[in-house]
Amino acid sequence: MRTEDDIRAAFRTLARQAPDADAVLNAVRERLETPRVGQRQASRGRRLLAGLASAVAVMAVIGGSIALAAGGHAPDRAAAIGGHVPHRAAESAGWSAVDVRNTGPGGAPPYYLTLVNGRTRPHQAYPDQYVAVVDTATGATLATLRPPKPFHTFDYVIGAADDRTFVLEAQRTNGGGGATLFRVQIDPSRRAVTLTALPIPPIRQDGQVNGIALSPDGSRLAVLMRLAGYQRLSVYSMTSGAVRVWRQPGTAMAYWPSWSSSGILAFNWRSGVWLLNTATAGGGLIANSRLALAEPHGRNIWGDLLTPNGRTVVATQTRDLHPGNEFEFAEYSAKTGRQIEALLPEHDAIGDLGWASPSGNVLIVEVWGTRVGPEAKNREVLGALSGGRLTPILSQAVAPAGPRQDFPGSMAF
Amino acid sequence: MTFDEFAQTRLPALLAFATVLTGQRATAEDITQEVLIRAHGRWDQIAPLDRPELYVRKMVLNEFLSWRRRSWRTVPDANPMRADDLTADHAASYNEHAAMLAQIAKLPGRQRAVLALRYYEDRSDAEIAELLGCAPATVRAYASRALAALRVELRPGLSEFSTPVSGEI
Repeated sequence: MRTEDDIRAAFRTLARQAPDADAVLNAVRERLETPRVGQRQASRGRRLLAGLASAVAVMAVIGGSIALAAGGHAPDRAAAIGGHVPHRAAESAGWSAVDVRNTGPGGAPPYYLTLVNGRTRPHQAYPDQYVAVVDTATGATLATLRPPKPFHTFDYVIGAADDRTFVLEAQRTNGGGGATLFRVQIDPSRRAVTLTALPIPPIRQDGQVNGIALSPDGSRLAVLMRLAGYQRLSVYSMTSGAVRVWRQPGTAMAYWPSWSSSGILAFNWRSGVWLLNTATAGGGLIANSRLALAEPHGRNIWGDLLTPNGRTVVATQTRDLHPGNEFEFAEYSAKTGRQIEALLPEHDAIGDLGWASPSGNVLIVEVWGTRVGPEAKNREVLGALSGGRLTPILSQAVAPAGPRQDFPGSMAF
Repeated sequence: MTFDEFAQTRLPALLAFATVLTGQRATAEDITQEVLIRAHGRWDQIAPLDRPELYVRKMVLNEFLSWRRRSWRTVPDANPMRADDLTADHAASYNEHAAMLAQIAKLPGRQRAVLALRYYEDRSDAEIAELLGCAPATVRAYASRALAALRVELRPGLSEFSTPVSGEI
């Protein structure tokens, strides 16, 4: 039976397990009949929270001093001073083994950050997530980072090409509510991990975040969002919070932002890769951008990434066969849009790109495929791709098996 | 059509769609409840539409994607339906499809939504694109990637592809 037929059959089975409609309808009626006083109180509460959130954002912009509550999950967390939340690693064995001057396997950075599923609180659909700092060479967990109160979960982690600047997004609940961005500073010599609330307003809840990218030097943050009737790119200064905004009307989404060192931002829109010079004037996202690469006929490009030197766009590229597919990491010239190289071509595989070194010579990738891996059962490889060769990286900190969708956002180098 | 008439006639199909979308009965119920409460509040605008059920279905879809707003990077429960959630009559078919459902549960929200709309609702790529607010080519890319992921995970007979190497590929 074909995969598509299996999916149809599985969905039909699932649909038969739907909740009882009468019970749901009764619950809806009960909620609709709830005294309006309660609704007004809830509404007032939301307005109050929104007001507080705005006030916090303003404080951050003016003074750079967000005072987060002391205590939190870790008893040794001190009150925040000057926007810093000193965050002692809960588990720090192994730091001494890491020499930050060296690189990891295949030219990868010596350590990386990854989200890990924690416990699921009552009435939550998804588990809270914390962050593990992982030794790239051994896969050992060097430290763990848990969100400071009032946050319960981290939802997004990205890194810069300088490989030592990271940004985390913290939320009160997994999947929505009060998203705030933090800079992560790691000092292995002092075994210290520090979170600093960024002077950037909380991410709007009325839109959908389609990508966040940190500039190679860690100084600017790009956030691509889909809002009602338009797409918005916001580029924030990590130090002052100053923002520039570009907009594109319509529902076609822009996603997968990535930066060059010279301030060019790449993103995908309508299956093409566009380049925007963020230093030039103008507020139109597409009007001020150049189409660098159109998706080749019959192929799908995915997760495209502009290398920090600005010369190449790397993307995963697939072509559907029947059955199966052809897969490769494709390297394109950012100037001409022509394909320069096909890296790691495979049949029946998919992959993701996670990081490019400043020179663009080392890529961190994930590949899932029937022919991939040193053992038959190891169909999933995280590795450093350089000179056409993939050097596996151990990632024991990441618990779940199967397609993990680590990039972007769940793992950062 | 009044809101009550709509809810009584369309709710079973909406709940089935939400269950396929989320893979979790409780989440499907929560999402559908939220959507119906909001639809009730603006029923005056929804009722005159040509296809109010399509609009409400889109609300369910948006609520699902909003619920999992950034969870295309997180790993949801790999065993979405507990065995004790199931009736005996369905146990056999559940076991038969459990592996597929577990893999689908791991897909990012948009890929899962495309599969549900394509293979459960039998909608065209153009319709799916309209519902998701993206281009048909993007729908094809989501579907292609989701199918590739499922084939990789579910493909039997892996031993014939074994290629032992020492640290490098």
